[in-house]
Order: sequence, then C-alpha cells, then structure tokens
Amino acid sequence: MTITLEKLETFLGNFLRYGVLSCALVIAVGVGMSLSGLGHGPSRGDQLAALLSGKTTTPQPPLACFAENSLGTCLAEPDSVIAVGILMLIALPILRVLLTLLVFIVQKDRPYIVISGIVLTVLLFGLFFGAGVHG
Amino acid sequence: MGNEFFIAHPAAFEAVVLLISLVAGVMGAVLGLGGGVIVVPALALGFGVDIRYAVGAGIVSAIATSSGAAATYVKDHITNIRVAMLLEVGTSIGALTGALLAAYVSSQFLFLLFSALLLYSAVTMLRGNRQDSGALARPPDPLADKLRLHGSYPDAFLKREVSYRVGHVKLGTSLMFGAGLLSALLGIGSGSLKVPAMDRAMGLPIKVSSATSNFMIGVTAAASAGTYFMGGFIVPWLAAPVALGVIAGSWIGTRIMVRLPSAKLRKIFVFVLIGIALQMAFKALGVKVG
Repeated sequence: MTITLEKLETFLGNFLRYGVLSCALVIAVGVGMSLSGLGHGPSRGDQLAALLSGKTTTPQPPLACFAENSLGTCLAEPDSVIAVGILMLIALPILRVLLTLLVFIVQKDRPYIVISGIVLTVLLFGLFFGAGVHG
Repeated sequence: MGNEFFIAHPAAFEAVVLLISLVAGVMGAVLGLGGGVIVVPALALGFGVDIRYAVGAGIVSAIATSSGAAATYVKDHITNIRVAMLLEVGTSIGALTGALLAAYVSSQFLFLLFSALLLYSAVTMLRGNRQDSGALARPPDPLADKLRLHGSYPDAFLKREVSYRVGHVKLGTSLMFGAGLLSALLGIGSGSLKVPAMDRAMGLPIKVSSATSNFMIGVTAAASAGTYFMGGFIVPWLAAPVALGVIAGSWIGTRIMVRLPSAKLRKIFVFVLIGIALQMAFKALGVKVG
C-alpha cells in the first residue's frame, strides 16, 4: 500500500479541520449553558473578581467533578463540559502525531517511524507525568 | 482598566476576551505564532490576571491556532510535514523539560524572559531584511538529503510553485529544544522562535516557515498542556472564549496569509514582536502600563 505525501496532507488537513470543529462545538455548548444560567458553584462575578485581583488562588483541577460525581451530574455543569472540550483540543495534536506515525509505518519509512515514535513517546510522557506531578 | 465593570458583567469580560483572541488567531495564523504572544500579555497586563493562569490560556490559544490554521496550510501543501516531524523531536523534549522547571521560577523572571525572547526574535528577523531568505544559498546538508527534507510550495502571491532546499538540520533541531523549553515556561507555541530558526538557520521560505511553525506549535504546547491542565492553571471559563475566538481568527488568518507578499509578512512580524517585548519588560521592571 502506498500513500503519497499529498494524500497524507489531505488526510491530516481533514482530521485537524473536523477535530477543531468538534472541540469548538463542545466548548460552545458549555459557554451556552453558562450564559443561560445553568450550573452551581460560586458566581462568575466572584470567580472573575478573584482572577482579576491577580492573587494566586488555589487552582481547581478542571476534571475534579468527574472523580467525585456521576457523569450526568458533571455534564450538567458548564465548566465540566468546557473542560472536556479543552481536553479534546489538547488531545488533537497528540492524535495527529499518532496518525502520522501510523502512516509512516504503513509506508515502511524507517527514519520517520523512529522520529514520530520519539515525539509521541515524549508527548504521552508529558501528559501522564503532568497528571502525576499535580494529580 | 474597568475591572469593576467586568466583575459586575462577566459576560462582557468573556466577549472582550473572545475579541482579543480573534485578533490573536488571525495574527497567529498569518505569522506562524500560537497567539500566546497576544493573549498572555493581554490577560496579564491588560486585566491583571496572574501570569500562570494567563500562560494556561496561552497554551490553549497555541493549540487552537495551530490545529485551526494547520488544517488549511497542510491541505494547501505549504507545510513541510517532514521538517515539522523532525523538529518536533527537539521542541517536545524541550517543552517537557520546561514544564518541569515551571514550578521553580518566579513570575518576574518569566516576564523578563518573555520580553528578551521577543526582542531577540525581532532582531533576528530585522537583520535578515531580504525579500525571502529561502533564496539564500545554504551549504548542502547530507542529512537533509537523507531525510528528504527539501520541498516546494505554491505561492499565491507570486502565482507559481517555489522550490527550496533545507540546510543546517542539526542546528535547527537544537534551536527547537530551546524553543520548546521557553514555550512551556511562557505558554506560547514559541512560533516567535521557530519561525526565525527555520527562516534564518535552515533556509525555508517565510511562508513555509510560518505554516510549518503553525503545524508544530500545537504539539509543542500539548507537551506541556497536560501539566498545566491537571494543575488547574487552565481555567475552563477563561479558556473557552480564548479557544473559540482563536479558532475563528485562525481560519480568517489562513485566507489572508497566502496572498500577502513575503517582505510585508516579515515586517508585520517584527513590529508585533517589538511592541509586546517592550510591554513585558515594563511590567517586569514594575513600570505601570495601561
């Protein structure tokens, strides 16, 4: 099976385009929920006051809700929905590297299998080590 | 600025952040930046947001600009995917190192580092004030031949296919380690370092450098994003208008970039960098701005 560079470009281009649109959609749903006044917790004004005062407040892990509550409860919280969208956005470049690696494997392009393999390893290490440091 | 007004009207704050991010997305897509160089100072200087939270928003901006703009540039065959994959080895290792160091450095140091970085990038871009450095001769690099890095791209301004040869592969990759390191510390895709490195050191045409930088910054930012996200420095309701604004802006920016003459592109880049660098330096030295 041969995949030309041109085909790889079209494929990656489409992947990124629809990926970004999906993330934007999820985030927009979260923003819409927030604007229509759904969800609990401190008011946006109070949160904003804390943020704009420039004081380092205690950071809130964005997905904390999912560790403690049911999926349904969290998906009713605008901030959790947005956090899911942001996490999808962060995953996008990592998936892009994975897809490129798979294409190079199919092409049996040895130098680039090694190169994209290293990049993917470092990215995954960053993601899980990041979780380990703060989680 | 009227922070009291925004605290009373949080939706107005989100709207302003959305607009700033839209501009950042356009600039980012056109210049090969992550938009962080606009979003981070706007939040930290304009609104007084703690720089670590501003950096968290900057990382989101970088990933959004990158994925949004890269989708178009890759399809238009401007991005050099092989160069990008190779250089990502340097940036991702650098970024991981930076993310681990981030907890140990002060905000003031970050501001100074940010402005030094921007001034440096501006100076390198000014020094090479030629039409297109891609036309400059580079000593032949056997590694570039072996890895098939050379390429060509369709230039919509010149209305023809422009081919180029890549040089200084090892130097370029080493510079990318530094770019990745700073990127993780400063919440930028560090396109402001990547573009000059590809343009100056490796001899890629400015449009290919911008597009390839755009492609790469998402990966650079993703390498440190996990740490910031899990640490709670990415605030969802702050990141949301940033992501949405930047995605829309980057789409507009890609439509503009291909049609611009290269010399003009380089000039815009330099002015943007100098302006932001001065602001950040003032901030670090405690001078009131805005």
